[in-house]
Amino acid sequence: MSDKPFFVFPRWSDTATKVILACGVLVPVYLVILLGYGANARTLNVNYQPVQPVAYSHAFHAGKLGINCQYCHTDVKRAAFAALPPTQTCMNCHTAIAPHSAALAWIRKSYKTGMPVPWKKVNDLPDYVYFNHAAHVNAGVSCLICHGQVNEMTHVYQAKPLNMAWCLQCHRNPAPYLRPRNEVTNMNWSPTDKTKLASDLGLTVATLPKNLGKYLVKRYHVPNSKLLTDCELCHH
Amino acid sequence: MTLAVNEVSVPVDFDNTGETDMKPPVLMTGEASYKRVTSLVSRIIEAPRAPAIWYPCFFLSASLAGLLFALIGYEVFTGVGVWGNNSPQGWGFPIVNFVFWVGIAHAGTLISAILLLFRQKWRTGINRFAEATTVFAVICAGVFPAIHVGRPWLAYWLAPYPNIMGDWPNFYSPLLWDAIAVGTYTTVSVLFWYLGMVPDLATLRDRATTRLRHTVFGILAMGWRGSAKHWKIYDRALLVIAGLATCLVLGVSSTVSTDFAVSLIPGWHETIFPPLFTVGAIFSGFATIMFLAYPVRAIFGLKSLITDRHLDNIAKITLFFASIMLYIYLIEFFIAYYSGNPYERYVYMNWMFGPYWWAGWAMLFFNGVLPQVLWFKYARTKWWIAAPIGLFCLTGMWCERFTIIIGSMTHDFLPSAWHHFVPTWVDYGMLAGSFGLFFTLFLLFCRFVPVVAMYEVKSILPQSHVHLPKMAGVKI
Amino acid sequence: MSSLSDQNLTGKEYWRSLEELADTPEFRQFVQREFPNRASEWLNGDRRRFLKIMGASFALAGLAGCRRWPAETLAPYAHRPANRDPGTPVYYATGMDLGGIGQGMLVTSVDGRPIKVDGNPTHPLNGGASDIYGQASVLGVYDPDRSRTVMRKGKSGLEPGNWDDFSTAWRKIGGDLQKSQGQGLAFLTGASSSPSVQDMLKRTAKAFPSARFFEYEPISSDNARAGTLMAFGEPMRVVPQLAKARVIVSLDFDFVVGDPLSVKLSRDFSAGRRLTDPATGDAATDMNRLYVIESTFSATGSLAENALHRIPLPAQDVVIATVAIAAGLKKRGINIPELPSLGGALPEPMRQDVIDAIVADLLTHKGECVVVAGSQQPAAVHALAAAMNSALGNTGKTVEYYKDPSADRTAHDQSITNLTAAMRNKEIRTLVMLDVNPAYNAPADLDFASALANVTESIQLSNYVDETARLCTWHLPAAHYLESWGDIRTFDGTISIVQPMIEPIFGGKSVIETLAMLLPSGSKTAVVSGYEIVQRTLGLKAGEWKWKKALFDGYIKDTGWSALTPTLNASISKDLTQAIDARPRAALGAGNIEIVFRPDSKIYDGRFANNGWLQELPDPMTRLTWDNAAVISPKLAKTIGLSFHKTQMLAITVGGKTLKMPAYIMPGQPEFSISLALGYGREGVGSVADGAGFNVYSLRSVAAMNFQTGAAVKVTAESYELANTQDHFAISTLSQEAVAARIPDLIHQATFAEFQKDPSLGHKKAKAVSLWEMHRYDTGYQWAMAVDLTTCTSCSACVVACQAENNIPIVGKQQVMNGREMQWIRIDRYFRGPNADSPEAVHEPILCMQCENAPCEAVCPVGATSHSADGLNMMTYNRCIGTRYCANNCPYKVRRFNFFDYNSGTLKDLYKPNILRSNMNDLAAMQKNPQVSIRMRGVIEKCTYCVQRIDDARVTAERQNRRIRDGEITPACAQACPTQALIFGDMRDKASRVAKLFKQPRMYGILNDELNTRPRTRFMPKISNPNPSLVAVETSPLGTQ
Repeated sequence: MSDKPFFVFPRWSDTATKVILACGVLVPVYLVILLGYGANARTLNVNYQPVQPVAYSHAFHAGKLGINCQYCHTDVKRAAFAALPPTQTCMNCHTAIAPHSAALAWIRKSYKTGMPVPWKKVNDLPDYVYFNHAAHVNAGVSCLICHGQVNEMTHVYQAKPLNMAWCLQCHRNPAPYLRPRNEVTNMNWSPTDKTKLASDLGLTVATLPKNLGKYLVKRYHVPNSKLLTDCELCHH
Repeated sequence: MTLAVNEVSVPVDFDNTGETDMKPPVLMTGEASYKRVTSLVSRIIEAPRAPAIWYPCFFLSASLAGLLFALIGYEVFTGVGVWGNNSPQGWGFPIVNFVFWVGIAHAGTLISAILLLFRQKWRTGINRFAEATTVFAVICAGVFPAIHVGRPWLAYWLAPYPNIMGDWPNFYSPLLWDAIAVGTYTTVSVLFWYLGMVPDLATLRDRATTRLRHTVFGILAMGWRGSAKHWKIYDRALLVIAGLATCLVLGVSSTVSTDFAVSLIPGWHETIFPPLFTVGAIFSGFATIMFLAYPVRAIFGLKSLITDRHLDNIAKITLFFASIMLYIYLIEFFIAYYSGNPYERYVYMNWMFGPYWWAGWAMLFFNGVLPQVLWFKYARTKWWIAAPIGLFCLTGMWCERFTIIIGSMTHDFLPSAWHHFVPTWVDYGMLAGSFGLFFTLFLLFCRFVPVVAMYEVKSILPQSHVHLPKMAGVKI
Repeated sequence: MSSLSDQNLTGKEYWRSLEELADTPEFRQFVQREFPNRASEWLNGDRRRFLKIMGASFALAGLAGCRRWPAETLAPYAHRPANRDPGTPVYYATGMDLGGIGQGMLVTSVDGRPIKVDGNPTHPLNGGASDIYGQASVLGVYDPDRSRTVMRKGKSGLEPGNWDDFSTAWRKIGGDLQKSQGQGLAFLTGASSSPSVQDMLKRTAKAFPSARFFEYEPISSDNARAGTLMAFGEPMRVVPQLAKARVIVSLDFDFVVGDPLSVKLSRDFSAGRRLTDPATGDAATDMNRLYVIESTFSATGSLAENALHRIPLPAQDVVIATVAIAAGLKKRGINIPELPSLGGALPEPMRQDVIDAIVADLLTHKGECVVVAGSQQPAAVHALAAAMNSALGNTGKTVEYYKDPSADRTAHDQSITNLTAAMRNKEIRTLVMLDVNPAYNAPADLDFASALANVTESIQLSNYVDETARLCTWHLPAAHYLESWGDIRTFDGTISIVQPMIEPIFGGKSVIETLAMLLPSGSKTAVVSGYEIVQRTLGLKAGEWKWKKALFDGYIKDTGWSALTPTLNASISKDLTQAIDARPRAALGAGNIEIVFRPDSKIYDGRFANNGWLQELPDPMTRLTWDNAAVISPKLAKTIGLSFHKTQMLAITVGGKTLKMPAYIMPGQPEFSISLALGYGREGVGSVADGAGFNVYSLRSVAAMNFQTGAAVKVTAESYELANTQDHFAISTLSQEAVAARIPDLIHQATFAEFQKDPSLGHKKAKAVSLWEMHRYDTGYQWAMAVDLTTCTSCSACVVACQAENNIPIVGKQQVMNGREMQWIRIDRYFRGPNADSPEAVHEPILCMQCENAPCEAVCPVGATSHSADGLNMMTYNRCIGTRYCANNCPYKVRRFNFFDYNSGTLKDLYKPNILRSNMNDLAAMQKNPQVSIRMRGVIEKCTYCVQRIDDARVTAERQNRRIRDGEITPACAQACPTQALIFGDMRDKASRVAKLFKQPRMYGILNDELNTRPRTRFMPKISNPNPSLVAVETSPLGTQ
């Protein structure tokens, strides 16, 4: 020991040690939470709502007017892509209805020039994910499940996180998410209306299955959850 | 019994290797006083300049280390293709180097931990820098697994953590075990090394003559006062970690070996791999120390602390493990023949007579045969024999990894898929670079950290023995 | 867009203080827009909660720019065509012409991009199968090296122009020519089966009466024409019907690979060799037998029953064997015309007893045997073959003759000679070359290039700015067959309409459109669009039912010719005698070596030289990629002191011309005959073609278009590196023995006799006892594939088909040499037999075995490869981190690793860091199959049984509430396979073909007994049907070379 030490731990360093130790535990925890929340698709993508070139309101067309989803998204039951409607479809009505509305400028331009309307993609999956609309819709998965209450959206926004864990909830146990095929586009469907349900399924109220989900899984040949969670089902 | 002064304090170049009636055997030559131990070790750090030779060595290894990181950058931004890896040979140099360094990383812990448990006093002279080699070798090893993967930026997927993919890593995979094992080992060996240094750091703090030194060592020494209570807790802690480390010494290399043993490639699919890898690891570790001890004690004038007896013991242990290696090799070849499995047989033939015959024979000769020279005390104690042998053993060990990984993979089941492996300049660069990294760290260590555990050496000096009668002339 | 639109709202812009930001009007506006349903609550209501939430998300938004991936734009049609579902593949029938024979194709098109070409299932020639040329042709459309503009000769070589420039120029040239009746005008075309092309040429002839027309094809069937002329008095097209043949004798005819008829011939050939009918599972009671007499070891040769059924002879001596066989037949009372006796002993290694055996076999199979001759054999051989066939009563049964569509044309070699002569005498002032490249592939001794200098206006239509283009005054970009209207006739004349899949990407024109353009305007024939021309030629109206049906079917029924039944003409004997005696036959030796010119098995005559898929495709026999080599026999190699350990350059001198090229030592090559593949050594054509191989045309002369004796070879000091996908290195004797010992395990072989005695071929059902409970695959579909080694011809169509379907990149010569080729299927080739001079070769396609106990799955640390419910070994690219452990642990080595970003930049800058490399070019992107991920660097990939097709089929089936039918799913490889050697299906479905095959006791899984991997890809042993009197002595296999 030299006579007068240049360095001794000051008293506060005892507290400092405790604080440092505490931080050593808490900071990682905080980071995990922050990342878990912040990097989560829920935070990043849910409610993502880009401005569209045309202020098209689903709330009005699908909701108020009650136009069926398939009137525009024609392929949804037979193809992987639901298909955005060609400008043609808009003009079916808008040649007559509000033909000169400023809001429809783009539509008219496109109709005349043949130049597509550059819609912003809202519900967007990574390119290595192969999603097939027909597969889901025909298994009785409603538009609602992934797209939310589109019929109430003035401007479409992403309603669900659309991340893998979220997909898996259903793929691991599809039964609760299914409904009769002919009700998939019905945004206000409820299983409580027994007579309606019976007629949808071509059954009588008496013969209605106790567990609708299980019944539909069998009826629509929904694969077992092992196959439904196979990687190559969505990634190839 | 009586002891004379000159028996306690023997000349510096006293040959303490033989069995004397002296109990305990002389483990420090020259004047065996606490003060001298302290000054011998501390002066290296306190000297204003390092020995002249230190600078060129440091420059060389530092630039090699720089090369390593440059090449890592190149590889990460370009692709695994910059190495020689190809279709049958998926792993190539990076994994060869990884296994090689992991092996070296074993001596330190073994010496400190196991010899500590066995109360081997002579370990005190060398355990500090043995542990250092461990830590640095683990660091060198740790470089490779992470960067050898195709998409390093995703390597964190090996960690089991809740994620938005709703997915877990595959716990069946040896690579996962490997990552965990090496990770644990790194932590423990670093802890062990640092903990072992605390009292010495305190010594340096107290000897410090500048504010900077005093502060730095002061913080590092964590307020060590050397009170009896400190010592009590300290010994217990050291013992516990030693216990852990001991398990790891046996565990880590066994785990690494499963990367190969669990696969079904002929030449990899071997039940004997865990012991082979562990023994090989310890062997290469001791070889490293045998190789490093001589220059270290020569350069830093520690001949009286790292005595011939220490080196003699190291050589004996090296010889012991070399003989086990030789035995395992022979068993491997025999089993391959005895199994009657044509694929097995061919691979071993291919090891020795195929395109990589040189590696096969280097393995057998340097690891199994050459160390047998150490049966002779002359060889064990002459630096110009022992040190080179250490180096050859290291070469042999690298060749073993090479033979196992490349010799087997390039000629597996379907001949149509056979393809030679040709290393690229990047491969060689990274190999050299990893040595650069190792020696950079080691040289820094020699210069700025007590190379020998002072307090431990003191603890084995005669005067530390309470039963030793006090008498005139014994300096305390 | 406002400054706060979703794209430019990156984290940096948010940061400043949230408080401050939250108060700016634009921010309120942004919140309104982006989170309308929460806006009120946030902006008016609970501010603190809002800031909390935003704080967390913005912290990350800073990194992620508020989106994890960039915003995308969707551009729907303004007016969507009928039945066009976005992103859904559509299939169109069309046709492709190769060397004057067309085959019907079925093109897969997605959103207007042709992405895959397959055989048209209903077409008479290929019946759904296809060859490598058809498969690879789609890549040609998107070749960035294609000629992009019209070019005209200027001071500084070719200068870009446009079609208008040309038509203006032509108005002048053409005008003058019209005045002079086309004096000094000449046309050079390639062989084309197209009626429209013929028609347009006729019209051109009418418009320019004194114009001259020439046709040249470097790989020509003229010898067959001459042969039939000799035999029957008129040139005919010879079409063997191998399906009906029980005994087949091939005279130097490699009919399974590289022939325009290959697909048909392989199909028919395999029909007679399939031992288990997949449909019924019944065992065949009979199997055909193949004898091959050939001048180089070809894929066909490897199908010969055993080493004794394959006689390696120099091309010039094949005629001797032919005569010997004919003589043998004559001796046995068959009515064969008088023949010259060739006297002397038979050339080595031909043996009388073998000839006698062949003769006997032919005799016992009158009317159900056939003798076929290769196009490089002289007319005499073809004539003799025809004579034997008719004498054996095979005509109309196992061989059919059709009228030659242009019977009166001059032979190609004659035609090109005349042309160059005319050019030299300055008789030709204007030369129009349509889709030909004579400066490259005309016989060297004609020196077409220099002759071209005498032509004032030389106009060439071509896909590439090639060797000829650079010498012309005008170069016109040609349209690919997938870009243009046209028509083709297949072997029997059946017409198919060629319909475009996409607008000409580089504004090219087809041959007929170009001809239409050259015709004097104003005349009645002023029909310019290919669309109209085709309708006019075929007399069909667009829109009418026949037209629609023709387009739908891909061919027009009853447009074929009926087969002729020709009779031998009297003078044949005389002609033969002349033809045969006329040929000098100096004894070959080290000083007098024969060289044989062959079409390349991959790039044909060089027209596919810039096609990466084909360049990187390993040759069936040599396994070479990116090169051609002088294929030389081991004996000769020893004699001239060639190294067996490294590839050396040979200097081949013939007819005063010398060519240096690498030697490849090939067991089974005739001792003094060296075979050279044409089509390589292109210059300035494209990034792929340039620098690949050596131009063999430079040795070719009109006198010897097919083979030439009197060559001398010298070993030079230079060595060379060949990119070989098998045995890339000199194999030590140690390895030799190991390989030899393994072959019987890897490739089970047996004879037909043994098969009939014991269908199991001694396979006992090995019962695997397991320590733990095995996974049971007893629900749902269980996919599996059966591979028949007996019918596999190693034609490699599967390899290219797989590459096209699964977006497999090419890696370039250097990477192939490094052992990093990416094809998911490889066709292993091993040699067997007593001596290296005439071994047997066996082929084995290796794709992912989809093991039930997959070694790769257990070892992946991140679970990127796992097992699916329906028994597939899945590979998830986006989860893979690239440890390559799976590839190491795969005993079959079928896993491929992306060592570089092969899809970006060029093959030349692979070693540059990614940031310095360009992205995938748009053209390349257009060919990619949207159903399959493009793999980035650092991930493993492998065969998936085309899981994307499986998934599609499953969705369809579920939608229709039914199970997937057998045959509904066909992986690309099986779809392409001309011999149905690959059968895919659900092994749990008892009725499925694959299940029936799996029931066969002889099925085996490679390495299954050793490793119990329980592969789903199982193999049927290679069974041969040797002539009982020619059973080779049992020998230790030779291993690879």
